[in-house]
Amino acid sequence: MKLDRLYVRGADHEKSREFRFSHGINLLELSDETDRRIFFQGLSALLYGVKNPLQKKGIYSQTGFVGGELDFTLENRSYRLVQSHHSNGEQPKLLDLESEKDLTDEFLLDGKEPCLLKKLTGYSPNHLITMSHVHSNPRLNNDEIVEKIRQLANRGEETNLDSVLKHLGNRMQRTSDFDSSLRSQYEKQKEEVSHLRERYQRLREDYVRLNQMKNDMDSLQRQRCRLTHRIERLQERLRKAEKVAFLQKKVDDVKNKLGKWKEIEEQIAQLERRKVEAMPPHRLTREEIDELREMMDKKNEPKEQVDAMKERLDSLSKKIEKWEEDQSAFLGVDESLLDTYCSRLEEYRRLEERLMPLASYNTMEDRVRGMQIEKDYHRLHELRQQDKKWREIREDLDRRVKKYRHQLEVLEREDFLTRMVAEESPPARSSSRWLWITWISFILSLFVIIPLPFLGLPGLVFAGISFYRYRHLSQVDAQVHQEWHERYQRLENDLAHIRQERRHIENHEGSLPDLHTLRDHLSETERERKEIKESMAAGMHEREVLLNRWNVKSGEDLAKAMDRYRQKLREREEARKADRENREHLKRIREEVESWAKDFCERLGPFHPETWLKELQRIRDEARNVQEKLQRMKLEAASLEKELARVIPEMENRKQRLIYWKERLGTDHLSQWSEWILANEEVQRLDDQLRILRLQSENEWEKEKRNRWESVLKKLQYRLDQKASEERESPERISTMLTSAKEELDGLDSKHQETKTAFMRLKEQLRTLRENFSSLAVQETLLFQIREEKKCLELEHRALETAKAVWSETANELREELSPQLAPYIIRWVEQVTNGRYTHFLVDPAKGIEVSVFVQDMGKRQPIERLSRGTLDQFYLAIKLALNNFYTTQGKDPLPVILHNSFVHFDDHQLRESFHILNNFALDHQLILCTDQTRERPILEEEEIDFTYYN
Amino acid sequence: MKAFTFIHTSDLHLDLPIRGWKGSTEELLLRQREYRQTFERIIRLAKDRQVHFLLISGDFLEHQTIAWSTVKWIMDQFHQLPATRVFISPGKSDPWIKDSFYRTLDWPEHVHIFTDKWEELVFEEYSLRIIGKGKGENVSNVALPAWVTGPAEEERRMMITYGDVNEADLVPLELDYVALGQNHQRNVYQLDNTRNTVVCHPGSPEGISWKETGERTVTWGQFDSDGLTIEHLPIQTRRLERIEVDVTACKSIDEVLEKIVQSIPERKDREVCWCLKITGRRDPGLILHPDQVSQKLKERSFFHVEVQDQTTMGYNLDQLRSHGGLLGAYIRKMEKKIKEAAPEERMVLYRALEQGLDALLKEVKYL
Repeated sequence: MKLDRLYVRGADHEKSREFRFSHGINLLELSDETDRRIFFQGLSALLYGVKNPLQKKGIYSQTGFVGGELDFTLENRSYRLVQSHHSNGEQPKLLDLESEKDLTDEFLLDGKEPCLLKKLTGYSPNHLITMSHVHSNPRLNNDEIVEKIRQLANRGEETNLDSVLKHLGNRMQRTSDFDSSLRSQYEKQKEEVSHLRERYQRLREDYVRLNQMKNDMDSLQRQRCRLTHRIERLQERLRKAEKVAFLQKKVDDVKNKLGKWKEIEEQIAQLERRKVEAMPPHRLTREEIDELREMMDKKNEPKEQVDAMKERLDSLSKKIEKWEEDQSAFLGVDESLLDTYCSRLEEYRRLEERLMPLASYNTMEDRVRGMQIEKDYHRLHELRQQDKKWREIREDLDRRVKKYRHQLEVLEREDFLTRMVAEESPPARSSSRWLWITWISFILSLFVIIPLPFLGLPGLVFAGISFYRYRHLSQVDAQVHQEWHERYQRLENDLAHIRQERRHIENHEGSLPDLHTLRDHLSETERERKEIKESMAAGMHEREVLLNRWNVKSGEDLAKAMDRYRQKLREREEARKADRENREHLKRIREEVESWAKDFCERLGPFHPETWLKELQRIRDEARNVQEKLQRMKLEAASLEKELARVIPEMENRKQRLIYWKERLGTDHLSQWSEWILANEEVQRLDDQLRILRLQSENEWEKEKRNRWESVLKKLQYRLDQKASEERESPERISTMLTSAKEELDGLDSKHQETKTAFMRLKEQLRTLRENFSSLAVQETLLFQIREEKKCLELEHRALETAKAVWSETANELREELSPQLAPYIIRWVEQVTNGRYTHFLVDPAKGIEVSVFVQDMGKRQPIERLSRGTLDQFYLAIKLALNNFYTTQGKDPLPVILHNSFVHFDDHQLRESFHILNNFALDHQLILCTDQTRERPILEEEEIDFTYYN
Repeated sequence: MKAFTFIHTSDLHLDLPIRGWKGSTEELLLRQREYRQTFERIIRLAKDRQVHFLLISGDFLEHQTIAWSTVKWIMDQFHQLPATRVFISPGKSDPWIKDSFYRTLDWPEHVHIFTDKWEELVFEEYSLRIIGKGKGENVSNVALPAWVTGPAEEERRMMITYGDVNEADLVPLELDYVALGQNHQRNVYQLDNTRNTVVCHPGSPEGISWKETGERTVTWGQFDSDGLTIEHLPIQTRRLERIEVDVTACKSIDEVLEKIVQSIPERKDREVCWCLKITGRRDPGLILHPDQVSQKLKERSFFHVEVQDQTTMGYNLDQLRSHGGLLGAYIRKMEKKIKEAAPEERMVLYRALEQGLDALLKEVKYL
């Protein structure tokens, strides 16, 4: 392929440009920026398409490009590519220059911006740029150039598959993100649906349970009805059975009654027979029997009784008289008075116990001790006052002693320092004698050395040693003198200081006496202080004696002890007064008691309240006994008299009745009477029994009733036979059955109630449960929807994943296929371009796709990163040429190579070498060297390389 | 012999989750309401026409997903028809099983639900004998009642059951009308017997899937002195329709939309639920997202459009393949994979081919 002509239409205020190209090397020196821009805009837009990768990368902007024409020859055919009014969106056209035929439609690609050259050459714009466009971008740094070289050497074409993979990866990421969000939504929805399904299921199951309960309730109700009916029937049967039982009982009663009557009749007959047998000659009534029995029992009793009573009455009278005589003293005793004096004696005894011993009346000792304690207390107070005064005096004396001592110290120190300063004299200089010795020995040596050199020299040596000694000792002397001076200075300072202190004392306390006077004052004051101390010790001793005497620890305790003594004395006086009053009262009681008890004085003995009280109490008890015994005897006598008055008439009456019964019965034998009484009693008993039996049976009315009962019995028996045929079971059995039925009914009722409660509860639960239900249908639909979306998304993701994988696979395969073929071309062209300085260009994937080259000068392999920018540009050019050469040797038409400022970083030597290579390359390819510099043209001329020049 | 009328319907599938729904939740709720509205329309029709019997032969409800509130609402609807005897034959989606609301709830007195055993009901005033049976648990073959035998003069006979009966078994029963369900498409035919038994699948009254397009009906019938007359009355609340639009020449989404709108010129048809199948060769520059198309159609007053993208790739693979290099290699590799893949994987690989080309040609501008 060869470019023949480029025509670029000018924009608004720009003129149109036309460039013509020939075979071989075409050098375009375009120093004008506008020309350069227009040229590359036009060339890249027409050659690679308006939206070509160079434009996208910002290398050539298409802004301002309005259209143009590109004439080129390909496979011996001339074409013209026309892009008119690009800004209006018009599409380019392809014309056959020979036939002037429009070939556009033949080369249009479906739905794509037309890139007509693509169809013609078979190369994509990317590919075309890779092979035919060499542009040394000054903005790229070395690393970027190395990367470009690596890409070119590695892949052979600059197809940016990374961006494809990146784009697919991004889309996958987006779908993945969306998928994860959708998955979480799906899980949530699934959970919601699952939850709803459970709730729906539970609701249905609950309704089944509810329905079951309802059926159970109905069944229970039916059972209840059946049972109620059965109970009613049982109750009816029970009524009947009870009626039968009642009739049976009635029949039994009637039968029993009739049997009883028969038995009574037999008993009556028997009793009648026994009565006849037992009948006595005289019939007696019950009262008469009682009277007779009593009379028999008490026939001789009254007389004996009266005699005994009379005898006892006489005895009692005698006893009473004798008792009254013997016990007249006790009988005359007034018991109330006796009680009064007993209580007086008790009072006496109590008062006597309270009396104080006479010894305690003596309080003198207490008074003396009270006075003593008061005296001691006052003495202690005085001693305290005295001690206080002494303390004040002692403090004053202490101050004075301190003052005198200080003054004395000042005066003594002043005196001492004055003497020390006066006595102090500077130390003598021990070095001066060595100085004299030095001088002397030196002078002597001078004198001796001439006549006696063997003596002069030692003398000089001695003088030297002496001088050395002098120097040494003079330093010691200076140091000693310095120390003395410092010590003397300190003494003077101390003296000045002490004198200043003395002046200070004199200013405040007046002029100081001399040392002797001051010492006298001090000894006098110390003596006084000693005396005071001794007095204080004596006072203290006396205080301790006083406190010890009263066994107290302080004056306050002593004051309290004194108060206690005073209080004690007061209390004693009051007690003594009360005692005297008690003694008088005792005297009065004694007189009263002695005057009353003179009748018993012998028995009581001398007055002693305790003995008297006990004796009087005994007298009281004895008197009471005597009086009571007399009273008892009198009462017995009175009652005996009353009994006699009652018994005597009764005895008379009994005698009369005995006479009566003797006459009536004809005998007074009591044994006969007894037999008759027993016979009468037997007859009466039989009469009683007969009366009872007759009452039961022998009545005419009763007989009629009996007849009636017999007819009743017949009727009852008939009814019983009838009823018994209706109900055979006993009432107890039926009652048991009824109870069982009722219990069953209760059980059913309870079960029914339980079921009803559970039913109501479940119904209520269901009412709550069925509220606020989301629609499961809607939620299921939404779940289906999300599931479908998820499925689509997963499909999309898989598709993207597959696309990415297949792209990577394809690229790798191509690379593997292409790289080994391309490598020899690159090695050859690098060697040629660098004139053999760099050989064995190698891309090593094992080392992270390291690109290295063997440097002949160094004799070793170097990574290309270490080479200069000019060398890198050489490599870049070499690889581009290699690529171009590689593809054109595949049988395709050679492509032109457009070099844009590709030699900026080449030195002259490199440029010359490169031009030679390009000259060879230009044999098969068209070369368009576009530069804004002027150095290429002279070198080409110098190297005698053919080229066509444009500017 | 008194005349009587009836309405026969089936397959309402109330509260059925809609599989493949691609609209919004609001639209879904609206659509669910519309299913209810359709039932309301049936009730209203029965009321207006004062029919004596309402026959629902199967799949009335969706057992697993029916809400209690829906059942309550159904009962309320039935309460509005006190003069009409309602017969429900449980079907496959609402079988007569233990936890069916048919069994656990108290239905109105005039509603009779057939169990999984054959039942016979006689209405002497109409000289009518109705036999019916619902679908129970794990019962697939319906043994027809042996006690229905021979032609009985002066007696009208109707059968209500779910669809799984053999036509041959029906012939000897000499029925007048057989109300069946199960089949969502209307199907009415007569048997070759003495009474020329009319067998009727009324079809679903409201479209549930994209197969149930067009007008949906219920069957109205009358027995009088002239015999049985039936009529199919449209009942649906909203129609479902399908349409196919070729977008081969369309360069942009607007052009596609325009073409769709042109295909559905009637404005009233925009109320229909559309299943739109987009076909043809898609321009490589055209990015077609079904959801986007659906949304844009909604903006143009369409109620609901479900878009199914069935377009083919816009790339001329023959031409692209001839370029060689990476592009050619990629296409050849993908085509080889597609050829070797299992049928279910092919769709993914086609999509991968397209995605790969899009990435290279649209994003990287390889050509």
